[in-house]
Amino acid sequence: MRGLSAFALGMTLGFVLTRTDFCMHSALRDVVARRTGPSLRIWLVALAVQLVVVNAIAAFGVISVPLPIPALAAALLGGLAFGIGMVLAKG
Amino acid sequence: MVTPGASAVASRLEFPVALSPSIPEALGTSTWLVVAVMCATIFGLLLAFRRREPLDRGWVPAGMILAALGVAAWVGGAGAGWHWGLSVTGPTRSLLAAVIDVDTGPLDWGALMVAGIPAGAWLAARTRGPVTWRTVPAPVFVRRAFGGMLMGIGGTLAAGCNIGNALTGLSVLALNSAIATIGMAGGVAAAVLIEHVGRARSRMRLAEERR
Repeated sequence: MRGLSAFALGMTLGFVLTRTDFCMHSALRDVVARRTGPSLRIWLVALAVQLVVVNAIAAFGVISVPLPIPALAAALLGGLAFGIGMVLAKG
Repeated sequence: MVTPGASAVASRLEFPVALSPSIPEALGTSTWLVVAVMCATIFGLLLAFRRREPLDRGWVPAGMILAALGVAAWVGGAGAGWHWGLSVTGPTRSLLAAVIDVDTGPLDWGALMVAGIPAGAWLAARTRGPVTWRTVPAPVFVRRAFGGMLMGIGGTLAAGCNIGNALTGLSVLALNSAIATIGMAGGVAAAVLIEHVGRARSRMRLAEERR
């Protein structure tokens, strides 16, 4: 049952991402090129709404949020490789 | 949490210095102050964007739907032991592990969520018209495959991809996600720069050939 809800949520996500043409690649490219495209805006709206709602429900104990211990070099280099890969793969 | 002297020694001895996992903790402020500052910044940016370039592509509802799905993933996954909202890299690993090594246990909640994404994308495309397989020229295929590999390696190192870090991780103020997001923007900047140089070079070559 839970698996089904997970699959349904993923399917909705895939549907929404395709229909809205949301793409993190375009969003980050916009940041780099100082453009203001729709993907960048969708990202910012989603980020702001989640900042409020997710932190609120975490504060009320609805969800638990275990944060990873930062690994500076791995996060920075991994992010760098991912960013380059995103442009090459156009994803 | 670490005294200045001790952190100086730690930074020389091993790479991850004891950094606090959350941004507000690292800054020594409250969660809600950071949330308020970030939301105000985003609001200001979006207003400035709208003034600069009016777009009517429904990006406001699109962002809200995406956020609603993110919240649904946090809430829906919690009961199944999934505590990280929307994410792609980790679950993909769980999916691959299930294929390669059965001892890693059953698929986690996130893996089933990720499995649904292509199905939903197909449905969105199919309801608009016929869907066909497409092939790309060989050089493009190599480029994309190599890029995908870098994304896999990078996502694993950074403990998350653009969704898991730049959306989910940032919204719970995870310092690791903030660092990874900065790294990603740097990677995109570097790759775009290389692309521009490459294009300028091939344009020059073409111009020379024409001469």
